Amino acid sequence: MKKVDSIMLIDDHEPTNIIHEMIIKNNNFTDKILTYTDAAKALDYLKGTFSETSSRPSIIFLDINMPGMDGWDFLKEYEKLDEKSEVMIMMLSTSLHPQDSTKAKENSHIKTFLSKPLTKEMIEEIINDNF
Amino acid sequence: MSSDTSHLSKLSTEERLAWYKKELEDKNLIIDTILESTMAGYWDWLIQENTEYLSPTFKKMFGYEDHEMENHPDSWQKIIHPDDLPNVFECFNAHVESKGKVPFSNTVRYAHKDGSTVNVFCSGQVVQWDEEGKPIRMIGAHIDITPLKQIEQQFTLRNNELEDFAYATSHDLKEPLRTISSFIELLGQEGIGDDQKKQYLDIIGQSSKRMTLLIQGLLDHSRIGKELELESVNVGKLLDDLCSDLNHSIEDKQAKIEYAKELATIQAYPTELRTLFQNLVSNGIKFMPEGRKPEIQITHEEDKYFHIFHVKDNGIGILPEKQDKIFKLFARLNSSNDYEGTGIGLTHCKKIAEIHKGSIKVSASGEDGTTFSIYINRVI
Repeated sequence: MKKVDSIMLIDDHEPTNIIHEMIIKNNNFTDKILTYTDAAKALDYLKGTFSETSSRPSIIFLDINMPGMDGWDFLKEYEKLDEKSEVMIMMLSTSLHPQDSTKAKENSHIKTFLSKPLTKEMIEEIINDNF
Repeated sequence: MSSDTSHLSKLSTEERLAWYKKELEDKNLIIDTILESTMAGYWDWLIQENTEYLSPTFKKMFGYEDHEMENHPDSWQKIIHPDDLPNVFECFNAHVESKGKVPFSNTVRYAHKDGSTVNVFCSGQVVQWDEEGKPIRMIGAHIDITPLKQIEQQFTLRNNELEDFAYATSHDLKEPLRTISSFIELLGQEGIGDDQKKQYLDIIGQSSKRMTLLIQGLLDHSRIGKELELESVNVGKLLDDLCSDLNHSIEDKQAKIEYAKELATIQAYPTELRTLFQNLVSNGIKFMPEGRKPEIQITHEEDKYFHIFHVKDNGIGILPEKQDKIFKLFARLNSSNDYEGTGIGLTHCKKIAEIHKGSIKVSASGEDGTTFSIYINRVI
């Protein structure tokens, strides 16, 4: 089984994070999980550590619908950062608003849309296909 | 009126002329009345001479008196929306090339003298051709369809709102359900400790509580406007009652709620209006930075059409780019860890303002607080 350096989870809904962390840990997809319930704090982390490539997450699972900074706001800010090419962003949503899929097609950083919760098979496929 | 002319042969020339004159006046009266009452304007274009008569109603539609607009094709070409002009020519060419078989009709935008947009349905026909088959004269009418367009826009807006509503309902109700089923599954796994079990059960409990709140919120929302009773409402008195009901949280947070005793007495739906103020006042108390005491001022003013209430708080403020979002169903700007809520309160407020044929908006917001302005129509 392939393994990635680190995975970042951004979701305001803590129970979802617990489930996702558990799947990632149980299947040994990475040794380092960075979990944020506040997208602004996740962005601060990325800003602060981007010079050290080792702490850059390999995959970011980003929830769309969050209070405060939502997934779209996060992407907008993220685009302003340097050296972002390597990181893969997966947008997560419980159900898709028609406007969201149009928006997503216009954004080059979004690899794909996934519906929550993530499963072992979904993460496995992402890692096998991209790393 | 009779158009039977058989009797005319018995009449003298003068009598015949008088009859025709009267007939003509009658026809004119009918046409003028129709044009006047439908606000339809007409135009009469002599194509080869390139002169065009524009009726007074035609000019009035765009805010001009008869003498303020020259009877010439240039007059309307100057004020038509430039994007719409090519289509008019295309339509005309198709009409002429088909020798009138393809009807000339189109919907175009014009600039009114006051700067507003007038939507016009324009239709016409070549009524005279020369020997070579070239058009000589064309007549047509303008009908102002601006009110229809506005209804159409409102309809689109409502449709989008409905789409948002359906999305939010499915999205936000699904989330707690999904969480419950995920954690029930986790509970069934072997080898989990008592602490974990307790944590999972807590999450399941919280999620079902949230689900109940969301469903209750939706039910409340759908009931707004169901049984309306228009009454004369003393808003100062309404706020007195409201404050006494919110007494517990007002004292707890040491909040100050200020308004004039005789604020206003207006025609409104009392239960709904109370819900509106209750949501705004509770929000004002709830969304407070650590260590600040809530201060809420409610004021009233009126203009020709509306009673306007301003609810000003000294809370955390709302970013400009989020000010539209807050009225959407289940939209929460702040994390539930910091501020509790389902995100339906302001959606209620919006609907309540709308059943009062008015609206609600954020009229000012910054770090020192937010002012909501509520417009209640004077004629409901």
